[in-house]
Amino acid sequence: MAKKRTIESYLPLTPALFHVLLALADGEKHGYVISKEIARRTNDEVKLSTGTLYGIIKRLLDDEMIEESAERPDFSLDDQRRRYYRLTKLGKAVAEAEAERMERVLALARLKHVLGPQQA
Amino acid sequence: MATRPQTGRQLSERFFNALLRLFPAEFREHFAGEMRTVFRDQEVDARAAGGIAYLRFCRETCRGLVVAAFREHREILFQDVDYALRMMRKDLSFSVVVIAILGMAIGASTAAFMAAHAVLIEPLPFTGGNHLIHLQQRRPAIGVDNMLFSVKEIEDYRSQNRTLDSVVEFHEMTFSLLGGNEPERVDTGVVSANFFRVLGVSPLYGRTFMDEDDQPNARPVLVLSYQFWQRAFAGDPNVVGRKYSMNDKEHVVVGILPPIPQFPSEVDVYMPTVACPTRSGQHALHERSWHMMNVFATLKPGVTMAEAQADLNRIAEGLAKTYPEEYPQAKGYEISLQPVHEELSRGIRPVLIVLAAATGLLLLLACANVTGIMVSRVLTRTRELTVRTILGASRNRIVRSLITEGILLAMLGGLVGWVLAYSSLGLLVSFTSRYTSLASQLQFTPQIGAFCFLLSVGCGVAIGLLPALGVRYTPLFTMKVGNASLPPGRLNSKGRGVLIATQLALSVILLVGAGLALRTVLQLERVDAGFRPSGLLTARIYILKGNYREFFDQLLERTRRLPGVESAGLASTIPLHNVNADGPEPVEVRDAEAPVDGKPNSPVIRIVTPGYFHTLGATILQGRDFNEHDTDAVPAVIVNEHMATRYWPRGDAIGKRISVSPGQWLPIVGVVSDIRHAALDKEPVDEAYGSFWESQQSVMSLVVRSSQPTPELSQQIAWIAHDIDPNTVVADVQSMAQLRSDWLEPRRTTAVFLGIFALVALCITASGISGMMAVDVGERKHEIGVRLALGATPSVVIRSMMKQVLTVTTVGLGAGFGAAWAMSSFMSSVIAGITPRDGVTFAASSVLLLAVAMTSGFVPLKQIARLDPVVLLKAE
Repeated sequence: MAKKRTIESYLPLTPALFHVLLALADGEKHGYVISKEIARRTNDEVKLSTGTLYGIIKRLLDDEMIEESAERPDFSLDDQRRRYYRLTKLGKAVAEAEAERMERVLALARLKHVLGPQQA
Repeated sequence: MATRPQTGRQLSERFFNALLRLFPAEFREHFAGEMRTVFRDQEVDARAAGGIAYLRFCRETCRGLVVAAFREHREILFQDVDYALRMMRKDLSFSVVVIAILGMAIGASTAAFMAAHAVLIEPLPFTGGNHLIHLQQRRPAIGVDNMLFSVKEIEDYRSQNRTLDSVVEFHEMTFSLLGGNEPERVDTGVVSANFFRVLGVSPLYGRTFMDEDDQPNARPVLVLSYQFWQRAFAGDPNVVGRKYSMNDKEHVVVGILPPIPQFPSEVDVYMPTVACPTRSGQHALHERSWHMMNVFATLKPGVTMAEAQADLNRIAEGLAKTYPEEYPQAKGYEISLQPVHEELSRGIRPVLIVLAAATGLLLLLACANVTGIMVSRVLTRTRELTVRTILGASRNRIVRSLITEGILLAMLGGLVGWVLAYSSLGLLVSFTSRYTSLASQLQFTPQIGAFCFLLSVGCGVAIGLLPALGVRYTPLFTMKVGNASLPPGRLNSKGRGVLIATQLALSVILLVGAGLALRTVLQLERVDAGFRPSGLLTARIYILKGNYREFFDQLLERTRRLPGVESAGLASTIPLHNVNADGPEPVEVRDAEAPVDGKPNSPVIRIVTPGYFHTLGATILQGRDFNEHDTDAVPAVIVNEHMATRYWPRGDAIGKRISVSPGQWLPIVGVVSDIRHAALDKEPVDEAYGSFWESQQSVMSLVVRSSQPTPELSQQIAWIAHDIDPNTVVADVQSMAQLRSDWLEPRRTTAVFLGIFALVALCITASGISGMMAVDVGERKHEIGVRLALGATPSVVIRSMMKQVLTVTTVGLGAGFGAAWAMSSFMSSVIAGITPRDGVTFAASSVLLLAVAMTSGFVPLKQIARLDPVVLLKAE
């Protein structure tokens, strides 16, 4: 049996992986929607190709940070070829921990005047 | 127009599907369909965004797929390696045995490759060497294959050829170098000024020869070989510019060569042709028959060997027509070309081929054996593999993890092999240096490391793949819970029997090969070479000038008076001494019957003193030995038994006459027993001996039979020689027993190498048979238990199971002997002196293997049959 890992042991996350977790933070989505949302939210700065996206999805599934959702959308909207993914508790906790880690880094950057003060 | 976008989409989708195949099968099974859907959606977006965006999308998709596929494979590899390491730690004894077996085999193969690579594959270390060809004149009618060139002939070939770029010459002389601590006899290579330029050799210090050095009246100069520079001057670069006396002339050292294999022979120093007194003499310069030079050349760009051969044939025919007296039709006259690289490796090539074949067989044997062990191991891991299958691992995934395990074991074996091969470097250099000067090229290069690595990977795939493919992946529902043995599929006892039979067959080949080599050496050790080596000391004596007869008279007389000396004699060449001073000479024979074999009349002529035959231990069969009355005024000749029997089979050779030079007829005064001069494995040839007092020479070999130890006697002889003439050089002082032993050494080493391989093969095969029976017994425990419980005696059970061993052994031995039969002809064709299809070797090998096979098969059976049937049944 694999040893139980602590949340800290997953950190830091790669930007792409973190974006996937963030994309799923507000509900379950399938692969195409995940990639679209990431591109939209980052103004096309982060665009995940199919290979990269599913490499990440597989890793998140293996690490049990996401899971396949058994619930399907309304039959008329559903595409049977697609799988929907959602965050697990672990995934949520890891995403939160990563966000907090980044916040601490940002705070340090402000303290050192690498970044300007936070806008109201 | 409407169909174009659709065709483009079909194409891109086909390409996407092709890239998807890069992913592991399990990944594809899970995600391929979904990925296709996402790709289609993304492609629609990208097309809508326009040309450049679409191109960027295509690039990113390709890159993403390749990178992700690589990552997936890497992850699986890490998992498999981790798993394999855990399995290896769990069964440490198994891992150690496999690593040791593979290590030995890979190490031996790598060492053999290292030698073959340096000698046969690696280009010569001088840039021009690989284009260099050796010119050889031949006289086919009298069996002379390498007649050296005269100055006149070199001039003709140099001026008349249309295909050669440069023609250079080389001959070897031995001169005394004065000016150091004591006179030193140095082997001197006399070469054309452009010799080193043609070879592409740059000096380590100073310079090589320039054209001005080879002009008449040029200041004599020398270039030192690296080895001589190290030995005589302790690697002092200041020796360049120093002056030494040689042949009564002052010579300046102008350069030192780098440490490279020397060609055509290892010498101490080099001088240009004009500095050599013999080469510059009137005879050498003007007589066409003054053959003493080796000739090398490079071809003009674009010229093939065949074109050059045709060109030189034209010149040879012209010479034969122009100078019929020099090139008589009766002797024949031809010229041939030979690439230098081929010539340098000619001696060792057959030995390396045999060693490479032997190590290859050993590697195959090791792989067959380890595969057998892996098969047994897979059978014992049935439960674990079943659990993995239940948990979702596909067949491919399990095959892949077993192959990874095989590769990992083989890599560790390769590491052991690498260490073994590296440690054998010194031994290999000393072994190969007996055959070729290319031995100095032997080193552990990156190519050797790569070979070792690839060999390990290859072995790993072989030993992992076969057991993995042999497992039958039956529906899991049919398995009994707790049953430890999966239906063995192709890994049944028949399959394992094939592996064992293969090992036996390979062992037979190795055993017969080693046996043949060993028998040959033993025969050579016992061969009657026509002389008694024990108590015999030999030395080569060179005198520079003066009265040769007086010098050698005194030397013999004073040597004979030394305490413990029984007798002493001199000869132009002595047995097994690698000096090409004497060669076959055409002679005329009177009052003889025509030789029945029709071979040419060209006995080897040797010059000896009275007492030489007695000292050597040869017997005068008829007539008498030479005496002081056999001078040039009253010449005489002694022939060997071989020649006497060939020409005068009725035993009446005494009194008959032969002629070596026109008009001079020498009476035969004695017949001496045959002496194997050239080699122990070469049958005696016609030999005629002339008396030293008839034909005095400046270089002779001294042989002394004495009860004194060699070191003391050597010192006393050197002291006598220097006392008579301080400039005398006494060289190559060694006992005849040592000379004989040195001659036998490479053959002995080859036999020992093959013997070690055969022994290892025997041990590996024995362990394989033993292991096979142990697994068989393990599988049939229940059956054995039932049989014992029903009243069968252990001996009946053992006998029935031994039948299986006997069947496998018979098949293995049969196949092995068939291959060994063919192999023995191959061996005798590549290594001179090997007796193929030697009945004793074949019989001994079969008895030995049969005994080993039956014993190793019997041991595990004996242990099991002794057990209580109740215990055996409970084990189920």
